[in-house]
Amino acid sequence: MDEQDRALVRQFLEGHRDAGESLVDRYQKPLFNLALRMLGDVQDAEDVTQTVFLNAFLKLSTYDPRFKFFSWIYRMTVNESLNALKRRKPSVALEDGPDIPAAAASPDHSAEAEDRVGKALRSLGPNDRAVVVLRHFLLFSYQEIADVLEIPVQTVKSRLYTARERLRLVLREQVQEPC
Amino acid sequence: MLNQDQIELIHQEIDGANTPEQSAAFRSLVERHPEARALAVELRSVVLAFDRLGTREPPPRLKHAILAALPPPGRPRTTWRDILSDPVQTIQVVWRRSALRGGHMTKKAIIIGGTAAAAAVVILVAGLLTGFPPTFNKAGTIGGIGGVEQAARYRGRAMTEADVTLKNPEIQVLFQNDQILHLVRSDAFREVMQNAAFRNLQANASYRELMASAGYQQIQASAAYQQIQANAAYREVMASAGYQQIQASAAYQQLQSNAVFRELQAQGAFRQVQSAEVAQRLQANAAYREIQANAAYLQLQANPAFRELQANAVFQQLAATPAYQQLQANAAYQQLQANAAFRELQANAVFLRLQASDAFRTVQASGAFYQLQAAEAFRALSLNAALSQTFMREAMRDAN
Repeated sequence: MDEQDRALVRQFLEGHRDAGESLVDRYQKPLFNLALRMLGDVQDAEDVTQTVFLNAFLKLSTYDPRFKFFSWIYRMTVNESLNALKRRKPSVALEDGPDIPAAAASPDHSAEAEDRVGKALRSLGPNDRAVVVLRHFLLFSYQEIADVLEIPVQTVKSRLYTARERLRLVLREQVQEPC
Repeated sequence: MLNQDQIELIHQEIDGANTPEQSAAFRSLVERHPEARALAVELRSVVLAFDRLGTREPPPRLKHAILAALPPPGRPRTTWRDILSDPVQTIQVVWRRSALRGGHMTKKAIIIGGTAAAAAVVILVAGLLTGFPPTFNKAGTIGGIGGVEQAARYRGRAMTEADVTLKNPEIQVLFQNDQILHLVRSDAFREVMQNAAFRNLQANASYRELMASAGYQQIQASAAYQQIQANAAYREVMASAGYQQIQASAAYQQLQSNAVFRELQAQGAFRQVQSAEVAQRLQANAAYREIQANAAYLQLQANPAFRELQANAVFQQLAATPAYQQLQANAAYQQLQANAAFRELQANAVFLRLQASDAFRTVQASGAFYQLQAAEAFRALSLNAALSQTFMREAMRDAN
């Protein structure tokens, strides 16, 4: 996969617009989902995804092919999402943030499940949330998460375990709370 | 009570990261330890909750919007963030690119939008430092040796630290950038900054909101938009009274009957821009519609320097930054920009040399200086016209 990415980057820099479109095809879904779970809002996730692609293409000539392209672009998405979170008005509590509308196509995408898990995710700090999203929505390994976030594997584990412990408690409380 | 190793073992099992030996140890643990079993079950239910949600398909419009904003392939561009994060590397990259083009640096490469905020702040701080422009009832003559004269045009309310957030780290970083000082001196930058219509526009809240929107930045960055901006027919339409009406009301038929507009519509770039999802979203944006109907904006659209600045990707990014918007909305800054003597000072070679001096920039960037500025006594002192003149003379002597 990484070799394909490098080839597409090279082709784009050589002037092939199709290569750019291929990179968009490969990454728009995971990047959108990463931003969506980080921010909990579809519109914000779209904005972040667009910004990341725009910045990535503008900076493509500075990309160092010795490193994995996907780590580079995922890192940009995490950072852009963190920036978007910082830009949000501090008076708006994260718990009150906009929720993700449920997709009607799948019964598993019920509004209740989205709401429940979304609230639990938003109870985490942004750095812990990034680790959880990369692990559970994008199915990254510890090492891949460490590469993206540029932190040691041990820190990834530590954050992930702490975050999951908190999620466990939050989800348990939600079950116990009367509707 | 589970120990840390046991908890880690359970988490790793949940993640499928255990070795066969560790998995065996995990199974043994949950068989004999009810607490471990309960934790494993609950953690699995957490993971299951995420698995059930899975991933979402992005809206179809997303890809169109991304592709519409895609820069032309094979044409690397320098961004404001590049300059801030690594000025040395950026200069090297720009130098290499200019060498590839035969050693000629384009005007666009020189007009880096980041200059706007930084330049203004540098000058504002210079103002605070030197007491220029003298404030209410403290009129003076910049550079004048022989005395102080009351000059009504200099009157204004005293600026406070609250007017401009000098502690903003973005602005502090900008302070340190040599490129910024270069750019302040560029003719194109000065031309735009001294344009009254531009200043009015910058003070317009709708304009600032528009500039900060992602949709506007994307469309500005698109190759098709830049191409259409360079088109004479498009500019004619943009400046036409009919276009103003269409933006403000339903005078579309009038525009449709306009031969120039029909010619424009037939162009591929125009259709591409119009059909882009992001353009449609922009059209639905109230701030966009308001600004399009703004006479000052239309007047500015006809200004080549303004169009060049607007099409500059770095400027678009800068315009979206809170620091820039804060500065542009600042009443003292607007007042300063409208001040003829201030503009004269901006063009003063000696003043520019002062700004470029290491000593001056070191002082500007120091934390102690910020603290000093916040002190009431210092501010009172800095308003003293005689002192500011003395300081100015000394500073300029040092700069020379």
